[in-house]
Amino acid sequence: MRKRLLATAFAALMTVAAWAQIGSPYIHDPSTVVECDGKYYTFGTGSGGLISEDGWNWHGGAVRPGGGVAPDALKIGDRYLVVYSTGDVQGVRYGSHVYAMWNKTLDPESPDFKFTDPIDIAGSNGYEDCDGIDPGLMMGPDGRLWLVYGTYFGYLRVVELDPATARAIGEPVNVALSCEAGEMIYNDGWYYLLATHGTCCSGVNSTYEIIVGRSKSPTGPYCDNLGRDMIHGGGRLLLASEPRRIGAGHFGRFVVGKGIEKFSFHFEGDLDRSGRSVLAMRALLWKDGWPVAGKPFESGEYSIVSERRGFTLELAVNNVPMNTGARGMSRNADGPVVALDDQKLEDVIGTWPQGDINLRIGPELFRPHQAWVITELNDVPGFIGGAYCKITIAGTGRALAATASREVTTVPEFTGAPEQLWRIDQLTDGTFRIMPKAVPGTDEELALVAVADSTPSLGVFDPESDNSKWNLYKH
Amino acid sequence: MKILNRILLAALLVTAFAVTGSAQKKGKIDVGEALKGYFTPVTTPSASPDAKGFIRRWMILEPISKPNSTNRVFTDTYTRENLSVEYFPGQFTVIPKDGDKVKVTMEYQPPVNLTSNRPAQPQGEQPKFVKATLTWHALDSDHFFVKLFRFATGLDKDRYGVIFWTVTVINCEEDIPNVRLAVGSNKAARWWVNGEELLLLAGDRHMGVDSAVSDRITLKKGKNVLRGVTMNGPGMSEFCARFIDDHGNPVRNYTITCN
Amino acid sequence: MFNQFLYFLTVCLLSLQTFPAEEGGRAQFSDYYTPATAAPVSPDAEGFIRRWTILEPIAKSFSSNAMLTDNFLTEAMAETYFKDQFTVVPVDGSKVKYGKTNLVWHALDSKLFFVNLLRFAEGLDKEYFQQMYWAVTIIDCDRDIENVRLAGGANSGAVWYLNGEEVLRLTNDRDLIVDDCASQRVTLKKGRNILRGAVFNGQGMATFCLRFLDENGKPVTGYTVSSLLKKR
Repeated sequence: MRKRLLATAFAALMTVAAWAQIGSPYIHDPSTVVECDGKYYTFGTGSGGLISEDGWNWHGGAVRPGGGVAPDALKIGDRYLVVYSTGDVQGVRYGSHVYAMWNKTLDPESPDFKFTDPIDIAGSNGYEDCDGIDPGLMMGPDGRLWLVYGTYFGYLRVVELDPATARAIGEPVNVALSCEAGEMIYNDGWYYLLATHGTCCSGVNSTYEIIVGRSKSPTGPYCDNLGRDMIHGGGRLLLASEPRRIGAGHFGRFVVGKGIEKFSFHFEGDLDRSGRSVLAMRALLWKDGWPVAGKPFESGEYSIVSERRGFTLELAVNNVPMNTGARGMSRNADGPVVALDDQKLEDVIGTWPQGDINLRIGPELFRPHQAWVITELNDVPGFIGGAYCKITIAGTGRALAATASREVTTVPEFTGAPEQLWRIDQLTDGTFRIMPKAVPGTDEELALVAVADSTPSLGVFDPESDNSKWNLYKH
Repeated sequence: MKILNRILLAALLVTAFAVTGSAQKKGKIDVGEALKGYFTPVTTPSASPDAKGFIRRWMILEPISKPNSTNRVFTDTYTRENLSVEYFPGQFTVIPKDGDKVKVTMEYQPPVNLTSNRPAQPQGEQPKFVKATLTWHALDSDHFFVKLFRFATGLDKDRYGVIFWTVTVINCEEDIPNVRLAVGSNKAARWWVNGEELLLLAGDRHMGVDSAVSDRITLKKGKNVLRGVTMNGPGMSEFCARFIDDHGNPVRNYTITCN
Repeated sequence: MFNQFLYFLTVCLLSLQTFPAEEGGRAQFSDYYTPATAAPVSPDAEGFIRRWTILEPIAKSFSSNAMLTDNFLTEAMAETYFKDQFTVVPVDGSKVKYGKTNLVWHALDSKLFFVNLLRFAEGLDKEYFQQMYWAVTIIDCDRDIENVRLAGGANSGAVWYLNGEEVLRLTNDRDLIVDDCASQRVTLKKGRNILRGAVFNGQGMATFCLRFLDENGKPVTGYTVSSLLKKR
């Protein structure tokens, strides 16, 4: 029990509040994060935006002319479409325009960096129940381009755009009431409308929340999980707030690859950063046909459990029995009942080899050789939406490492070598991909896999296979 | 003195005429035309709830000014306190008739600035109170919801930082027990049936069908008075209301009347 | 003592439940094995190697499969049980001397995807609890087959060697599970490869299954399996 308490206390010490993103990710109403030539970009209200070389550490420097509010961005072919809006209809409130402009690159240092002149693609006249701002773009599975726009003032509207010019084709259709920051996505036969409810722009006093409805058609009706039309105020919550980070809004989907999706958004107020509005990215999960927000990853003590059979990653060391007296069939009725200690690291570590120790996967026994501390490292570059981690046996420096023979082992001490840095991505089904930053001697991207029920290795990640998937449970 | 008195009398008459003229001019607003697309003046003796049970017939009082530059202030306490203030006599009991007028005491706010990001309001000053005469309008909503914002803009009244008083009468042929009042409200509101408060809706909220429901009540045989008061800062304002049964299905076996 | 009897009874009942061949009487050796033939065979459709030359069991003193730790297996395999134990490619019917006992190699084809060692011992009227079973097979390839893994399950502990090198170890109290453990990537070289191992079992059922898997976890079948038979 004491060991468990100590372990818990240790885990608590090790657990740091998960960041949104690091660096200077200060932005309001971010556009969907877009990759361009290996860098990541997002634009915000006002002018400019953020750039990140690794998708984790962000800084200013993105360039977007036109000002206005709440832009969105989408790569179409070899060009980037950026849309934004301004309330520039004179003499009336809620009279707004959505403008579109193209660029061959988002890198302001590139010689090809030149935005086309903005063209007016949608808006509101100030007298209708729509405020034509907060544009969101979606390329449908059929190559049709759609724009959603609007705010709490009346309706969100959807209109089709010509993907060659971004000019509107067809008439706008009302799809949701009293929402803003709309964004449409397509997944597995459904169109989804993500939008926000709640108070915006008030720092940690904001109540921004991202809601979602879905439809078989891009023009709706978008209904929530109870069948309530978003035009009647329906909507299923995706994310409102997290501890220390308040008011999620301006959803944007970022597909990393098959089975791995993230979404970018802002928290209106980050309590760890003076209540500022910050860019955030989280895993986007899919459950029963609905998008679900992944939890922020937290450093701490975990069991690393293979989805293949449910066994847990462990050191391949001798099983050290716990000396609790004779127990078994018909031997349980003697003496008083007392709580026994967990097996302690010091009970077993002397039996472990000194050098590299290989790994197995075995049934969870909550023993020291199965207890992993996963620690986010913010002093090394990260990856899109996350920080690399070191993975060590609890209470030791023994670290998980990829080997030149494309296997996994543990080395006695963490050195920070790239084969000891692990990228952990939550998959759309809620499990995790665990991937070394580098595998010595190869450029292949390999992930931690179970090649047998009891044997871990490195292999090509297969989103369809449980061999490639892991669960992380608090140990 | 006589001459002075006559001058004063003449001045008063001119002023009175001007005021009356102004009032008559305003009175000439074609409400049906002004609210077109959102409301139709009541022309029938009674109405039924719509197919989904929404109550579309309402007496709505022209908005009472209550300046607020943000909707964040609508806490439970603020909402309760500011919707408890007496703005006009009998405000929690009156069953008004179309065209009835009430004299209200309300906070002054300058004319709306349609180009600003926030509704115009006095900055940093103690509130000034003014008296105004406001009119009740008997209206059928063209939609399942009641677009209060368009009621205000259509009648060229204050649209932000206002309180909307709404009343309707539910007529039942027999007691209807175990029903809930279900309201979607943009923004803060209080709702009563037969004088009993059923809902306090605080916060910067948007209208969602059935987003808040009351405890179970009984709509009694005969007349039931349904009263809702909705308060808005900036932005859109609207509500929708219906009664639902224990299964969440709309209750429709009653009629709705306005005097 | 009574508890041990209970345990034995449980094991027997479990065995009865698992192996219908035993219904109505003692299991027949022929329900599990046929003698290996001279012609090489392929692994089965799922890649399992069914042809093995198995040595009659050697008694080992361990009461529980939980004792089959890495250390136990390392020490057990460091012992010499018979001459050339890590190099001999046995001929069916040949004998080895273990202490004062002669043990016979039997070249067999398993009728099942796995090899039932308990039925092997029982069928030969040998002890089958607390035993060590040696098994050898010959794998012939007409080309190098790279990046394959030897994958298997065993009841209970086992150590397997490919061409003299230990490639796979199954520790602790295990049950027979297809692909329970896998080796690192190995190469089956063009020509002859010798796959050799020992399986340990304390109480209860004693079995193993083995196959080679490719990088995608699919069975490797492009080779033949043989045993050496006496010239007739």
